[in-house]
Amino acid sequence: MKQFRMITGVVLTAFAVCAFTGCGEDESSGISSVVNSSVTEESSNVSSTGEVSFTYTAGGTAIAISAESDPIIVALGEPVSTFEAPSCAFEGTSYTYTYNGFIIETYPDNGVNRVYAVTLVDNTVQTAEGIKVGDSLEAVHTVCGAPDNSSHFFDMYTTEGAAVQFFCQNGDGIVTSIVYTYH
Amino acid sequence: MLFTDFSFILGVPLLFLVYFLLPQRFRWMLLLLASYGFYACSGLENLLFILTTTLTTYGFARLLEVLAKQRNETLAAHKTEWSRDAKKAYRDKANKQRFVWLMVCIVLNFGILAVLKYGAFTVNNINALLALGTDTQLPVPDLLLPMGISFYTFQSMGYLIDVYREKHPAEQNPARFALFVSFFPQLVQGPISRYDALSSGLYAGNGFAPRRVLLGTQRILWGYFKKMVIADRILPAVTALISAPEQYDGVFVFIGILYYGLQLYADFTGGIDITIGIGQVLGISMTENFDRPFFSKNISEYWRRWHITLGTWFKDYLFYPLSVCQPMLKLSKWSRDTFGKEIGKRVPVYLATLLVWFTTGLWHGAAWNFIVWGLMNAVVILISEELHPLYIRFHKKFAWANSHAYDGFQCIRTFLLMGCLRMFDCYRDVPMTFRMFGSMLTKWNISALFDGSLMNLSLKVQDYVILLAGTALMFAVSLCNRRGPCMREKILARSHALSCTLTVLLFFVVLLLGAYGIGYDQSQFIYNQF
Amino acid sequence: MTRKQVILSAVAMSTAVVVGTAALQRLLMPKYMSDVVEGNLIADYYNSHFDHDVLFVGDCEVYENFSPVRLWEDYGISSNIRGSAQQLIWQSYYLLEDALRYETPDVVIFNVLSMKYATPQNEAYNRMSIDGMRWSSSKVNAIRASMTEEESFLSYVFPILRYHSRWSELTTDDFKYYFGVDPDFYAGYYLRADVKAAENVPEGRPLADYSFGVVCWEYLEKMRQLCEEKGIEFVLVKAPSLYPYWYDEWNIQIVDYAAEHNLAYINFLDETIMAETGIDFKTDTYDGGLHMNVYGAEKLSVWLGDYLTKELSLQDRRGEPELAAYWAEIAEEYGKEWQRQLNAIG
Repeated sequence: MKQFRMITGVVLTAFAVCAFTGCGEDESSGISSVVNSSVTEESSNVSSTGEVSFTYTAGGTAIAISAESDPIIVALGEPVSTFEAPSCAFEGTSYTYTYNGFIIETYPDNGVNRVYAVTLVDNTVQTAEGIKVGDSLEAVHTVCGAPDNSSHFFDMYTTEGAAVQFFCQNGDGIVTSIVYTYH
Repeated sequence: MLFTDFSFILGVPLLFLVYFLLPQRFRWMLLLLASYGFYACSGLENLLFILTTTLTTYGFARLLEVLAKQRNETLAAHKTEWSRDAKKAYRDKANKQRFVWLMVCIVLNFGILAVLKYGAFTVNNINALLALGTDTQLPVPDLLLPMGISFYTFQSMGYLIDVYREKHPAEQNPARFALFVSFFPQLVQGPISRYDALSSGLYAGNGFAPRRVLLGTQRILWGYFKKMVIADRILPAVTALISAPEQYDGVFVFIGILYYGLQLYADFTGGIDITIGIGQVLGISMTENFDRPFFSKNISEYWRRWHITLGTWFKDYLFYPLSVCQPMLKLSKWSRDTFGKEIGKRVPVYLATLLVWFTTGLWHGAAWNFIVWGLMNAVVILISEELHPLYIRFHKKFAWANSHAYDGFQCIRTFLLMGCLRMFDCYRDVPMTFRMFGSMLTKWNISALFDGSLMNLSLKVQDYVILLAGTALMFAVSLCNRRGPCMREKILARSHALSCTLTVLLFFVVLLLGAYGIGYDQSQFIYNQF
Repeated sequence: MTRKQVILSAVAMSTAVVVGTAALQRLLMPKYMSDVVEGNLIADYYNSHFDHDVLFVGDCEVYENFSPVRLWEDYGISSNIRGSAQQLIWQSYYLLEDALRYETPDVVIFNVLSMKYATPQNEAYNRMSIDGMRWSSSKVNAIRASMTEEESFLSYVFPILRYHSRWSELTTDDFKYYFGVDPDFYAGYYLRADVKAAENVPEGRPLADYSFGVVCWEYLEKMRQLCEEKGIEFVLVKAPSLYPYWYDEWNIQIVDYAAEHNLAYINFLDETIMAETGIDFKTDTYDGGLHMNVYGAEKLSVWLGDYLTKELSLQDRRGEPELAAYWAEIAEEYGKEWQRQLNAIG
């Protein structure tokens, strides 16, 4: 009888412990159950706050951040100038291609060149939303919505892997350059 | 922590050293400490679950034992004064009471497993049904899945059922029982041990025995060879093939069958070799989990050779009890009366088989592809059973059907059949799997075997050379192990110096050719997730 | 088996494993004698005589932009460069700490470009900066601070764990230099005599954040304090590399820091200083403005030597026979390499 009570006590204690089992943070080693249903992913072209495109398009050629740059450069044609910056010690070169109105920077990634940043430098080019250098930040907000990050000299919209930044380097609310970059 | 983590690889020899230096009576305690330390590396919160299973199983097993003892004492006390009917009635009542407590513990522990492992799957399926007619969607739980929960739950429940069946007494010491549940080498991917088989060595604290330690070390190294040199090397190719099905269809599906079969075999058996090797060094005998499965001539034989302990667990604790339980016996009688003897006798067997394989599929993963995989295995097994008389006549009629060449054909046939079934595991999507199978027959891109496409699967020429050589070596070792002592023991018996030399060489082979470190994605043992 | 046999077997096997692993490790570790020669820079320091007036610390903007041979020949200043490819600031700190175990120079010159890197960047560069260090607490700390997610500490203790896969990439260099390498550096300077004029160098695009990482400030301060404790003059420099772009917003932070701690900060990109050095980006760079060639490095060194002599009163030690003999040997090899490269360029 004593043993019975002792064992019952252990069991009841275990029940009580059991009550705390359950939810926990998902960890790399404690993955959630695998499900066969497809997972809806957010489009990488839509920001968290508005309708901003994170891909610059020049002459019908889309220039997405982290995309392979060699086919893009071929499609865009001969740049106005090219600057090569070899990596320290190893093979691999970063390139800066200057076109009329915009500049593309690339980086080497395991033998493949990828787009790191695109900078719009004057008002001869514009974003997919129609924003140009020289527009006001107010116009940017109207079109793109509230930025994800801002300071007195820039507004930034972000998504996974990319960001688009509207700089006002004079601090007067007028866009001086627009940068698509890795984020 | 993985078997291939540097901390594990360095920690185990250290454990061996401390183990053999400790006085005998403390050795099992060291193993308990190491096991909980190992498990804690997967996350401290996981300890809660394994402790719950340990404590509840320990408590209920003791309870069942106490109730059995009370039953026997009462029956003995009333041996002369009670009638046979009275004794039977009392016995039935006592056993029923024990059965209820058994089921409480089983439901509790399998309930934890079900909720953690299948909760999200269940809710997602309910949501899919709800979506057909309503906008209501239940929130999908995001639950922690403790490492090895399937393994230690099954092992504990097997122990509990054995105590219920009075096969062996319950473990009196909770700490020793905790070691049985948590013994670290088997926690990752089995084998699912039986208490009476494991306990004798687990608590014995066997001392240093040079021969046993050498053989155990060789087995550990052999396991690392299979895991790191072969399985991890071919894994990127398998991943490439199954992650881009649109690109890799037709003949690539067949290549995937071969590659995945090799990868799964080397990974799983490699892990088991490491587990059993560690046990051997420590003087703890563990149940073999594989018996050269690719030498099987049919699916039934395959499942007697692959993941043996899981198969025997289901056979002993699910299939047989299911087959002889009252509802099944009633069903059997009803089906004989309704459909006649021939069909009637098959109904309970078929039902039990389907249920067991449904559960087996579910055990492998909370996804429909695993369930379909399990059921398809059942269908193939049942068809094989039905055709068995035909096979016997076939073998009697044709002498060449009893030749070694035909044996070889049967082995290859079984390998390919199991490989096809295994593709449900790969593509993780039932319709996709069927589409890929279809493409093997409809898309004739055999030229891809010769146009260099195989070199675009993250494998270089030297990788293929190593894989071929490694596979040939595994095959040779398996051939050698068919009869008599295993190859390691044969070599040791022939020459101690040769055995030591091969051990050192095997170490260097793993060190140099292992697919680990920068540039290799360290892959978990496939069965870790179970 | 007898006890004696067991012990003998165990000893034999252990010895075979240890000796074999060591031998294989030596074979498999890259020798850095062809292609990526910069890998030998760090270890080469230990071949020096540890008697330097000046230690340069930093990345390729020091080991390719300053010529210790010129400093010696024109000013009698003994110097060495403790630099490696993309050497991060915490690596610079620990390399400095390591060097100060062997000597106490009068001046430490740190190139500030690495202030822009606040996180571990690349495993290959880590290896080049750390593998060559002798084991010490500095090396341990450098490893811990530098490891990327994919790295393990154990692979630095046993590099064979990192380089084991090189068995299929072994070259004749691995056998030729099995017992030791013979790199072509001159007190840590990597000589390039070729010329590639700078053109189309882009201006830096604007950044959302010009602040240096907290960890970078921490290590800069640690270097300053370490020098202060040892009575060493800590001088900050920015080499005249046109790329990566050195923003004014970055520069002002260094200027302010130097002013706050009364440190000298020489920005060689400054127009006035640039004019004084005489740097010509048509002739003095070998890679289009990223690094100086030997002509540029010598010009910088002449300017710097004058500064060190006049502003920091460093002494001319050309009269010390032993030191003079040491530097004569280096200078000879330096001259030969320069001529060899000129011949190769034609």
